[in-house]
Amino acid sequence: MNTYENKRLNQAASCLCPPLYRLLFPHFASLEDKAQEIRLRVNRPVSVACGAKTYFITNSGSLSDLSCGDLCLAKRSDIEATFQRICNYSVYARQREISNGFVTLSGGHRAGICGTAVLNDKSIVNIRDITSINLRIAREHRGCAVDLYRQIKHKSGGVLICGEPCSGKTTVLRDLARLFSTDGSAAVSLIDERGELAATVSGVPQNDVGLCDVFDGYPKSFAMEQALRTMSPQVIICDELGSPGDVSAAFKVQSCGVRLIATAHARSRKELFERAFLQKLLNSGVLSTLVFLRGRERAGEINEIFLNGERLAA
Amino acid sequence: MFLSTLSTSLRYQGADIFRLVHSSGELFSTLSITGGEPFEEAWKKTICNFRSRYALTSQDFELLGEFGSQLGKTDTEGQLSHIELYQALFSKQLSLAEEEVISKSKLYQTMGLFAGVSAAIVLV
Repeated sequence: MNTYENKRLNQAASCLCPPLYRLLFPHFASLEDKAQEIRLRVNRPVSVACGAKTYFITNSGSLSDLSCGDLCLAKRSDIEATFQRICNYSVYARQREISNGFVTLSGGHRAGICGTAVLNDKSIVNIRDITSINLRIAREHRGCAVDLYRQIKHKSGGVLICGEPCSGKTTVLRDLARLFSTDGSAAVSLIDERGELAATVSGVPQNDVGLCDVFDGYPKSFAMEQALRTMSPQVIICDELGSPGDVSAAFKVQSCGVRLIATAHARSRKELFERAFLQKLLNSGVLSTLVFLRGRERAGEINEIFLNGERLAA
Repeated sequence: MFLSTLSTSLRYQGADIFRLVHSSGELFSTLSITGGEPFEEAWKKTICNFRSRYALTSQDFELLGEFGSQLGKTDTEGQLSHIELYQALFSKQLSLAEEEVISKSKLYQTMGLFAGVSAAIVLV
């Protein structure tokens, strides 16, 4: 019996085309806890990213930490077959996700894709000739936000969780959603525009997000307004405030007395305040608590917390 | 009928191709919807069963195979165009089959008549 049948790495890797899956399979036991990404690039070595270290698969099936030698290259046909499997052979059904650059898989894993963009009126409507696939292995760290939750649960005002890519913003946000909706008994609307938080597949959240009302795939600003009108939330949680539209929706949320918890890409306060569209929101005090994460080497760990500009103990 | 239903479901349901084909008509009710194997394989297996059930020509099977091989592989507009194209091709095949039935039925009627007349002559 396959002992790794239900493990996260196996679940994510099962969308690889059979030849690549067979090559990786013997290493599942050693990589299970540390593999973060499986990367396929056309005519380039297949690699497995484990934090700061990257392993390559050789043609004989062993792992190597050198990027040269007899390495297994991802053929175009491997990428195409993997892409079809990622889409469950139904590309048309994942069109919106493909246009956004990634597809959510069963188990909450994500397959990032890139190739040649097909544009219509300056917006991406499709990606053709896929050249790279990045399988990101989702890991739920239940309880990773407990300390943060204790520090912010009785405070008022919005919360912005900041960090560099892969620093664990989404993981912390997901755990906060679970804690606020269960331990905190709050009515939480979870805006999951890109399917990263609840990772809903066929209407079923793949991650534990407690008792949240999940707005899956809705444009963020639209969902915030609709949540206010329809779900009477006490807390609205969404990831990545990234556009002026999101900022104006955040003001509406605050003016309705609803707490907003969101994330943003920024390593430091300086970097955060340099982002023009966020300045108005930050200066107005809508997001009174700023949380900074340590970085990709220590994903999910909190570095600093600021409340109304004052630094709190992390 | 199957193609029209498939086309409508594809546009409005957004379910995966296994479920869409399975639910679009009795013809494909044996198609596996549990996944695991590529859709093209599942399609081929299903149309293989048609050999014992329907009087289809090798050209019909070829056309069915080609049709299934591209299902699910493109965006919605591409899929709808694909269905439309094959609707036209299948209609053409149907017309040819109907013409063949008409011409062959005349032939068989004439042959029957001659056989009857011949038998009557022999008996008389």
